[in-house]
Amino acid sequence: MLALGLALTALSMRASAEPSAPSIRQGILEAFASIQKVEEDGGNVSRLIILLNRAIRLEREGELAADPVRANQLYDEARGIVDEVMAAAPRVREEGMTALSNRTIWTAIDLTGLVLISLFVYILGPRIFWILWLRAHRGWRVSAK
Amino acid sequence: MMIDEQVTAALLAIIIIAGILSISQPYLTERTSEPFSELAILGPNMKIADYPKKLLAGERFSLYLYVGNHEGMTTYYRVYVKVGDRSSVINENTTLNEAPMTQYDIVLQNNQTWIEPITLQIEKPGTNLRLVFELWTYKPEEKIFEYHKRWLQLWLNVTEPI
Repeated sequence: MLALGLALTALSMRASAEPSAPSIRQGILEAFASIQKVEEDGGNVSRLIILLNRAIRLEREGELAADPVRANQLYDEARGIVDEVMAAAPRVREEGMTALSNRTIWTAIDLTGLVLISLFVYILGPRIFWILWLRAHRGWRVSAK
Repeated sequence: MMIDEQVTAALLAIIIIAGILSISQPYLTERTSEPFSELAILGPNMKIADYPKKLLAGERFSLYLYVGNHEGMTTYYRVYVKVGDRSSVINENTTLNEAPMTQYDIVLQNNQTWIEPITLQIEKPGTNLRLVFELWTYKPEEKIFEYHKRWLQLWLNVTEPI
């Protein structure tokens, strides 16, 4: 009786652990939601999208597969890819945030440079212009008639 | 001296305009002013032609599905394929009230397009049948798929095989 109970429990646990089409579809949607957040934070999501589309394809193939064993293999593979996407998302998000803050720093440097160059031109511009003008026209002679 | 001021003003204007253009360029290219998505069906030769018109019930036919994302962000698309008839109602606000015969999912980045060969078959014979393709998008905040107001159709006559 006890052995039978244990066997049934083990069987039901295994069944619940096995990936099914609805659970993978749910996983794919969750992975997409996290990809969108990563993108909002400036992360490069290209690779994650390729992986997610592969999972979508595998899930579809699994649904269409006539052989349940083959279907489970495809679901397993899709589940693995979804897990990979979920695991990689925080790292990509962090990289994106770093890139975003770097970009902000560079924009600030650009603006500061622009202000400095403007000041430089404002203070020294005319003098430099006329020095260059005089050099360019050094051969000129002025005559009065 | 007047001419000095003019030279300074001209040089400053050139530098400021060039600077603003160079700094704003990356932001301008990333912005999508009018977000939109594309949905299209191509014939078996990957052209906007040669669509099937007459079919036998159960006969398999091939088309190409085209989806384009210009929403300014990564989007999860779902295309539902449904069959309706002359009396069916579908427009930008109302989806066809029929169960989908199949669906295709794809995640696309901004400015990415997708062309997928698809094979379909219609089991039930009928005249003036409408093979309808509806574009839906996933909204992660609400956790639902929402009709994206894009749809198209092919008119078909499906006859019993002899």
